[in-house]
Order: sequence, then C-alpha cells, then structure tokens
Amino acid sequence: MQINGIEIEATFAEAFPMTATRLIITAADRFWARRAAESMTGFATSVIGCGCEAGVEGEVPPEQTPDGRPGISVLVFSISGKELEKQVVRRVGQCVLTCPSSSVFSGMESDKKIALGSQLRYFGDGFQISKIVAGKRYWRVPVMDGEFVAEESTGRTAAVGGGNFLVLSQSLGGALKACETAMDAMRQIPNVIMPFPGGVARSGSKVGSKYRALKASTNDAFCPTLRSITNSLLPADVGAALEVVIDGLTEADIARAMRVGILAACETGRRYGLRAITGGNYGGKLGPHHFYLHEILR
Amino acid sequence: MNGLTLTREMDHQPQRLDLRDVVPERLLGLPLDAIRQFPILANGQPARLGDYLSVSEGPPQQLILRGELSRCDRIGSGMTSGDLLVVGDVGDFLASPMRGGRLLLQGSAGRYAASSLRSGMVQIQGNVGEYAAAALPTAGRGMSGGTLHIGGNCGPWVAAHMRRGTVMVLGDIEAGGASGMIAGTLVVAGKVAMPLGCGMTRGSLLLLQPSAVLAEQGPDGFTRPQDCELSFLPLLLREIARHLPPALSQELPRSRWKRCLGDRAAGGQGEVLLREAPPARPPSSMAHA
Repeated sequence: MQINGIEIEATFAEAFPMTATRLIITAADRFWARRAAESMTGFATSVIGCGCEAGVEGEVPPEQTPDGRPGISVLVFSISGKELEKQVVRRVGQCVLTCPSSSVFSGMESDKKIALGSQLRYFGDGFQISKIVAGKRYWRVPVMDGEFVAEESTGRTAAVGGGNFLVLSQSLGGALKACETAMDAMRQIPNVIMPFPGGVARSGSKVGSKYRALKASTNDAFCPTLRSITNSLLPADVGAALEVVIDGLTEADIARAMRVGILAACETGRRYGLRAITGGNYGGKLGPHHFYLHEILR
Repeated sequence: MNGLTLTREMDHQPQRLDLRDVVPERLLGLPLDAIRQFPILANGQPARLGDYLSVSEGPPQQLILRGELSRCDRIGSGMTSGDLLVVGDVGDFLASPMRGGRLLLQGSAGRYAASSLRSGMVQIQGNVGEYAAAALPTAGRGMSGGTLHIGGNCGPWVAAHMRRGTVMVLGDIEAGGASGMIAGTLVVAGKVAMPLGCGMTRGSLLLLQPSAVLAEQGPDGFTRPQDCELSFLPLLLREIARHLPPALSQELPRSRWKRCLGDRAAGGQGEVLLREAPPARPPSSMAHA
C-alpha cells in the first residue's frame, strides 16, 4: 500500500490494556488553566519510569465546564487503578492545587472511582467545606487566592496504551516535519493523548537488554547508525525514524488517531523526504490490542 | 402500572390521620380492595385507609392525594422512590422521613416539613409552618439530604440543626432560621427575620435580597461582611437559578457577594453569603435612521 508515494508497511502496532481517567481543570482564564494542566501532565511519558502517562486532551469552553470558567481536559493512564489514583492525587495536589485560580473536576462518569478532592481536602486543615450540588460532592479548600475547588472523586475506565506508528524519513529534519504535521491533526481527536515530548518518541525500545538490570533497550533495528552491524529494518534511503505513541480510551479512538496522523504525515511528507510508515510490535505476544496499518487506512 | 388517587372529602370529625407509608412503592400495583384495607392511624388508633379516603385509579405511575388533608400528618413519610402529588394543605411531618423519590405539594404544610428528609426532592408550592427541615424534638439533627423547595414563606426555625442537603425558600423566613445549623445550604429569596444562624457551626446561608442593615452588618454573632469572589459560587448558583423566578435568576451571574462567618459565639465556621443586586441595566437605545 502506498499513500501519496509513501510506503505503508504491512504490519501492525501492538498495544496494551491500561486504566484511565479524565479531569477537567478550570481557572480564571485559559492561560492559567493550561499552566495547571501542563504542569500536572509533565514527567508522564511512560509508566515505566513516570508512574503514569498523561497529557492535555483539549480545551473545554466555559459553557461546558461545571463552574462556567475556561477549562482544559487532561487524560491520565496507568497500569492499575491503585497506581492511577496515587498519581492523580499527587499530581493534582502538587501541580493544580498550587496553580493560581484553579479548580479541578471529574471528567469521567463511572462506577469505578478514584479519589480526588476526598484526599486533597486535608490541605484545608479543618477549614475546608464540603458541598453537595446536584448529587455531586465538592470540596472547597481555603487558599491564599480564595478557594481551591475539587470534586470529591473521578471515574476511571479500561483503556488502551501504546498504539503507535513509526515515521521513516531520509533525514531527521524531514521526520520531524512529518511528525509535526501528524501531531497538528491528531491533537484535534478526543479521547487520546500522545504522551511523549511533542507527542513523539525518538528512543523507541525493544524488550530485553544485554544488561540484566534493564528490561528494555534501544530498538537497534531502527537506529540508522547501527544499520550495518545489526538486523536493520530501515530501508537504504532512510536516515531517521521517529515513533508517535498514542494512548486512548478505546481501540476505536486509537485507530482513528493513527489514521488521522498517518494521513496527515503522508499528505505533506514526501516533500520532506518521508519514505515509509511502519508499526511497532513485539511479535503480537505481549499486547492484546493489534492495529493493522492497512486495515486502519483502508 | 396504573396510578392511584386517594381523596379525603370534607370531614366534620376532628380525627387526626397518620398517613405514613401511604407512598407509591407501597400502594401502586395493589388491587383497590387491598388499598382500602391498608393500615393507617386515626387519632393514634389502627384504622383502614378506605374508611377515611376514597380510592380510585389515577394517572400512570403516580400516587395522588387530594382533598381535605389539613389534619393528615406524615404524608410522604417512608417514601423511597416514585412520584407523589399532594393537592391541598397538609398537616405536620410532611416527608419525614423520606429517602427518595419526588413529592410535590400544591398547598401549604404544617410543622416539621422535611425534618427527616434524607434524599429525594420535596417541592412545596405554598407556605410551611415551624421547624421545616429542622431537628425533631427527640433528634439532634434535622434534614440530612435531598432538596426542599418552598415556594411561599417559612415559619420560625427553618433549617434548625440541619445536617445536609439544600433548602430553597422563595418567600420570607421568620425568626430562628438556621439555628444550630450543622451543614447544608439554605437559600432565601425573601425577607429574613432575626435571629438568624444562632449557634450555627457549619453550612451556608445564601440571602438573595438581604436588607441594607443585614448586608452592612451581618447577623449577630457573625464576622463583618466582606467582599468575596468565590470560584465555587457560579457552580452553586447555576443549580439554584433553576428554581428561581427568571427575573432573579438572570441577575445572579452579575451579582456581587459579601461573606461573613459565624456563629463565632459557638466557634462556628458557617458562612452567610449576602447578595448585592447588580445595577439596573440602562434601557438599550433605539437607533433611528
């Protein structure tokens, strides 16, 4: 299969089950809401070393937020509900509660819940106020700029992490351009985040390492400087590879994001030296979710 | 499921009826004969429902009580789900206790209305007597959940020792409102008589049209009102506005608020929020060619 002269390899991306939640962060204006959101989703590229994967999903207009103020929705993914709760409470406590004018609300209804305001309320040192409005409990924590408002809890749901596609280009500059174009399109898709810096990972990994302490190591099959001494999967005219990694609430969300991203990259990529798109997998033996590129793009 | 209408005709006997458990989940679906045999109390003595109320089918899924109900107590007591419509003034202990469902009273209620409300919605279009949403004499806590909406005026001691939930009063409240309030929210659109919030420890009072003196000084025992800008208010006001007349609800987003805390004599941290009406908008000018 080719799209706009770009080869789409007949392979699949392999992804894994996770659990996820959505939060709505509001503030006096968009600037401060975004500061809080970017702060709490920082250092959240991979569950391996960061405890969770998190990112900004999109803006929420004032008329759609619980308190009528500008909002940002964020998605947080983790391996277990327990770890997800720990990450959410810690990040909101350190990065949203501290942000001027912010409030935080649940962005997901579910029978499975994780703590939010129910844990953060203790910062109020006994001065906090509980209020139930329309069946939902909120905590009002007195702070120096007025009150920090947090909904009691948020829901969580089964989700999918690690959908991906790799961009193979003649040069690094070309690969970056293709990914930037893909990311501009993918950021419009709801229910997904791309947790790596700018949405793109340059350090794709393989399972295992020569060092016993490491469970993963550089994906040498895609390293251009090793092509002559390893079982390289890089075509001869490819000088750089980058990986777009996607976490989503459902398989359909990830498939949609992959399609949008790949099509956007192929639309403009040829002129930047884009040569092929492929998918990252572990032989299909680790993750139960398989995204076949040709099926997604049909 | 067929609905049910129970009617109490004008009665010259001075009996007081206790209609607890005469609620949708207990009656709807029963044969009419069984309903007529349903146990109630008349002057504290066991009696049969059919001896005091006529029974007929009604609109689907709904229980309707109508007629001369002013000496009928505990209407809605025991309700956990469903819809109960009451047409006419009722006696004491309306919806006490009630744990769910929706009760609409097209009339006024006596004393202790919703005093043991735990969950659900009670809407009273008329007035209520003393101790609405307040603690019973034998209880330490009053209303502990749900929503009580009163279209008219309240007698003394509304929300005294209230524990949780939301009470909205479109009319005036008499003395003793929110005394010993423990938590919850009381919203008053009309006039407020003193004392207010005496012994209040927590909870929120929203006074939508306070007098100039009250707005300046706050209730006795409370800190002096200060300007406040609470990010929580829009969320709360959005819910409250649904129950207010349009002229008042439209002013809420543009209103300023003052806040005071008390009752400090009881070490309380209850809040009283006093609304300042926004300046009247000038009439829009009409441009003529």
